[in-house]
Amino acid sequence: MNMDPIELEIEQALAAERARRLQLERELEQARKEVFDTHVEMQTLLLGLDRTVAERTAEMLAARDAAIAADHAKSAFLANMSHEIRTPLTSIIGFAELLLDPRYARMSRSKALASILSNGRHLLELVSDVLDLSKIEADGLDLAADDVSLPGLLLEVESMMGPRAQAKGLQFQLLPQLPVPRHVRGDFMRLKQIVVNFCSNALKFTEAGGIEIELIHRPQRGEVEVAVADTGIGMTPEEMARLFRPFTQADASTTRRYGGTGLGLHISRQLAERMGGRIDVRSTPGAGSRFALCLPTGPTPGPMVHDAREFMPLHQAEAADAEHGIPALRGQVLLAEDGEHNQRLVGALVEATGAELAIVDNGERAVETALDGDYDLVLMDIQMPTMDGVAATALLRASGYAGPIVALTANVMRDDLRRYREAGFSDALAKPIERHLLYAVLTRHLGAARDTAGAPATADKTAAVLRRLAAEFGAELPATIDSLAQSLARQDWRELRRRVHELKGVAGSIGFPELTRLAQPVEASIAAGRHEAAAAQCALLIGAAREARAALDARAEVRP
Amino acid sequence: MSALRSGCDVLVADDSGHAREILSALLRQFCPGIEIREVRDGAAVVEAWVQWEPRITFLDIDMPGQNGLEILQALRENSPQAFVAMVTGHSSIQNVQGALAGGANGFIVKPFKPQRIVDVLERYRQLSGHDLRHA
Repeated sequence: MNMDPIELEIEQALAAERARRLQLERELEQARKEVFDTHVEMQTLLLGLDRTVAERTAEMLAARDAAIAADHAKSAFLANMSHEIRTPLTSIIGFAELLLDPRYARMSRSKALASILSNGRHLLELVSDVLDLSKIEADGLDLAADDVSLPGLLLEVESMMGPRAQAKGLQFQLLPQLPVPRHVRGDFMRLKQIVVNFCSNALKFTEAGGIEIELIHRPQRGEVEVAVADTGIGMTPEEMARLFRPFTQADASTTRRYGGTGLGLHISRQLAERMGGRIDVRSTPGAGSRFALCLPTGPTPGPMVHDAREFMPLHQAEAADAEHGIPALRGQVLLAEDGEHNQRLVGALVEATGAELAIVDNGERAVETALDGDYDLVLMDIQMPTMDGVAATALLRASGYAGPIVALTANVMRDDLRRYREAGFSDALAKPIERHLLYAVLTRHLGAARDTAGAPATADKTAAVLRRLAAEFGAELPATIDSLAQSLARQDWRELRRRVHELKGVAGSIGFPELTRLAQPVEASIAAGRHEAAAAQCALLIGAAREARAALDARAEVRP
Repeated sequence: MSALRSGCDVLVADDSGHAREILSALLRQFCPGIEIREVRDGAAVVEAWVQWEPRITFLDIDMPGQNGLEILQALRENSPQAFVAMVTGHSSIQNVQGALAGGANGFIVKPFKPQRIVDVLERYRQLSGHDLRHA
């Protein structure tokens, strides 16, 4: 059965057509699948997009809420601030108006002035605290991570707060639970600020009994604890909960009764946390409070202190001096120092050891004399006329002078210390000079005397010299006060700074730590060009100097 | 090393015979066996330096004719790598600052203090890695 050739041709054409159609259908199916896949993909993408949009929106809402909350906090803070500032200002303006009003001529002027002064001081404190706080919050705070001497820290706090506690009739004691680490990592000034804040609070809220500073090492926790415990009014748990919030004391009425800015603890906690530590509070209403600063020591706390004498305040340690304090040494010491009082003070302390002493009063003379002589040790004041101690030391080092040069400085901030080391100083001693630290430095660099029989006699001599220096300082106080007041009136900031600097360096060493403490901010303000603040701070310093003078006079009258 | 060098370890330039004698004696005490050349005339220093290439040059400031600070400048122009300690009887701040500005590596005041000589030797050791005291 042969096919018609025409049929065959048609059949073949149809087959080809079917095949093509099949091919097209497959392609269509493929395209449909692709469209479907793309659709699915787009759906998924859309879903994801929705989710992303939702997430972003939530994030933005959260950020907005945070910003609003921060804004509220700032507004609340400002409202609080303006209230805090307005209150003392109202008193200051009110009393000043009364003083000017002839109808109130019979009012006690001294009471009004005292009120103006105390409100002014409060304002100053407030402004300093707020500045401090804003620095911390702006993260602009440069904290040192030095090895801070715990005995040094507590003795410094004792020298500031002990006299204030005694003036209020309160006991004040350092109670270290030995052994304790000698050092803790941190920023000396800031650690002191925290402990002083604890002490100020304790002092404020304690009427009878006393204040104790405990120092406890907790090796299992890798911590050291500096705790200030008082026998004051204490706090309820609710009051404690509000404690660290800015501008809230336990009770609004306590602010009026006890003063304070309500920022101290807030700042303290921020500082403690920045140094890797924390603050623990325990309190019982009516029985007292205990504020503890806990600092990490790490697994290896380093050298330990075993001797309670290291925590003895200077006036108590004096008795022990005769047998322990003064090393018998030989050698030559060059002292470069322009302050006359410090020349005499450091001079007396050095000569008591039996070492020979030469004194120059500026950096250029220090360079010339050190190169010319054969000194075992140079004690170099930082702030001197003509050429300061840093420049002089740099020059000596550049000249190849390799002997020990120790900086004497009232500026013991971290940047300064680094600057001193870079300039080539071997070591630094803080002013006011602490005797045991000076003697440690002298002992390190000078040879021991072969004959030590003379030491106890020189101890008496030193005590006598210190007494004489204190007497001379007291006798010269009126002149000192006058020159401060004159420089202030003339707005001669350079001269004022020089005088305040000298007062700061010497007063603390011979029994006037308050003056040293008050002199510090004056000098800092002048250095920073904040002349208005300096003037206010200097007024306080002059006031305190007058009080010191009056106290000395009163003492002299009582004596036969 | 020093045995292979044709030069010397220390060049002492001072117009005073006593000063040269004392400084050399002190140096020999700290660095036994070191080779020291002396010149008494400022004008001869640069030439002597080029000839001997000393490790350390002690150069007196107060010499007649050309003073030590001028010589230091000439020396620095010729041989910037020279290690030079200035020597003087006057530790005036102007002298110290002038010497350091001129590129001196040390500053020694007469009468000689042994410790200051040791300081210079130590400084040289730190800069060069070569300790003349154990040469």
